[in-house]
Amino acid sequence: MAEDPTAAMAKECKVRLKISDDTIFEVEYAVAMQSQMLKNALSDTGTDGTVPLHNISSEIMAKVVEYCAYHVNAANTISEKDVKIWDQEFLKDLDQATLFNLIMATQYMVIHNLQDLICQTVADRIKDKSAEEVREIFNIQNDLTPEEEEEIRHENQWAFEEEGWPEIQEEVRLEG
Amino acid sequence: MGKINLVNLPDDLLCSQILTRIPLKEAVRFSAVSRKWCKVWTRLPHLKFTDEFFNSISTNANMAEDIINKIIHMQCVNLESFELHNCDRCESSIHKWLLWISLSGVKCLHLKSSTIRMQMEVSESIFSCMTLTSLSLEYFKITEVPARFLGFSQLVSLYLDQVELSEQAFEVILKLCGCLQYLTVDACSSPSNFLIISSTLKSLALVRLDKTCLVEVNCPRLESIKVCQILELVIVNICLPVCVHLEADFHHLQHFVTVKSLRKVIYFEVYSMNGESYHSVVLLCSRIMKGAPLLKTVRINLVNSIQIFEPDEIDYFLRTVNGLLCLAGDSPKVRFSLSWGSTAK
Repeated sequence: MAEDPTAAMAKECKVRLKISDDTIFEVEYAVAMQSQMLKNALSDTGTDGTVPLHNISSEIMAKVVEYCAYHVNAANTISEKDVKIWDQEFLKDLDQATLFNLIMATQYMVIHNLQDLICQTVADRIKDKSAEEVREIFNIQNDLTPEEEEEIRHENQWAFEEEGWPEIQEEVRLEG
Repeated sequence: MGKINLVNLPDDLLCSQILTRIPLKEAVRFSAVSRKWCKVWTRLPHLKFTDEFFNSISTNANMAEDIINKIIHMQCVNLESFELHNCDRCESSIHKWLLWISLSGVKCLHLKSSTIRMQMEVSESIFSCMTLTSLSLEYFKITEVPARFLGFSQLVSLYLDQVELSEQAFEVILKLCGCLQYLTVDACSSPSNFLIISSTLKSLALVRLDKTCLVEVNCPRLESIKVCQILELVIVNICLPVCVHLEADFHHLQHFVTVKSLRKVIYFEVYSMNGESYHSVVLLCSRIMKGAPLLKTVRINLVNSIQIFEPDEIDYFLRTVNGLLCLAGDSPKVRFSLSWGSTAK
């Protein structure tokens, strides 16, 4: 499939992104295209000019660009296994605030693969944890009175019960 | 940017991106974490009542039905997807649940009955889910399509696994799905032959149709076709101008495509063949290798085939393989692989 010349040219362009503190980030076209929102924005206005992203900080933008830049290159050249290893390294030093800022940023910029990665990480951290443990992990104050908490547990009793099936199976085995 | 934490995530984002990745039971338990979230799980856009859910409830099956009932009625957002396994254990409620979620504008529906019982008839209410873009049914019977059915006008993807279809049902459904692009028919049965006619279908997978002898395909926009374990396939649309991805198991396939042109094939894979079909395989393969300039990959898996060749066929077979390898040598741009060893399928 022959590429049309304008598309080829555009690929060498840099895209200018103006973030919250008015700093300009210049990213390669291919990297910017990882964001559906930028893709749509640029298809209307072209690559001249600057796209404003007022609600994203430079720290977060740097992380987003780091991820997108790696994945643009990794797409055809690096094995899936190695990409996964890189992803885990990428996540390693991120504190909670950064994680959640990234969720908001990827939501706004519509970057599915990064959003999936971060959200899956958060989900993995809260899986199999009790309410109290979740509060501890995320430093959340318990603002429920004991009565309120009791009411909630009672209303959805089934969700707060321990797994029952394995116990039942044990009993059957003993009897048989 | 201020210090943001899990607490600050908008409810909808929390639900759609995080709570949907943990089991439903745990998402409901989230309601005890903080006052802000005591009802957040009712905004889950995806409801999955899978085996995991049924196993996580320590009470008996009747209670499961009540719990599901309650959860469905407490949903206060439009449902994106709904998945329910063990439909036969909830037979009395499933009709009203489907009606309820059809009002909620559900897009993806996945229903599975347990395998233990005979196929249950699919609920008529399913035909009221007009907003479906994706439908997946496992272990059901579709005998009749109600006369009032206007079609799944937005359905893009249909997946049927072990579904017993009446001739009328399949025909009507296909006809009334005006933008269907992906169709999988796996181990389904029909009293007559399968007629697959669609002007929009892009991808077709036909798997394990052992009892059916003939499948006729007339889909001019087909881009990808995967065929495994079926006896006879005739592609009526003689020219496959847009077919790019062709995978087939020639073990049972006796008569394949009678095509004039395979120009746009990019990928060709043969899962297996036997003594009777290898001749047509080789023919097809050489035609593709000579006539498809965009061809990138040819994979021929002889794993399951080699044992069933008669001793006198083996020699001819080996010579044909040699011929194939020569053809491969003539097409250096094509990634050609011939596998003999055992592989797990």
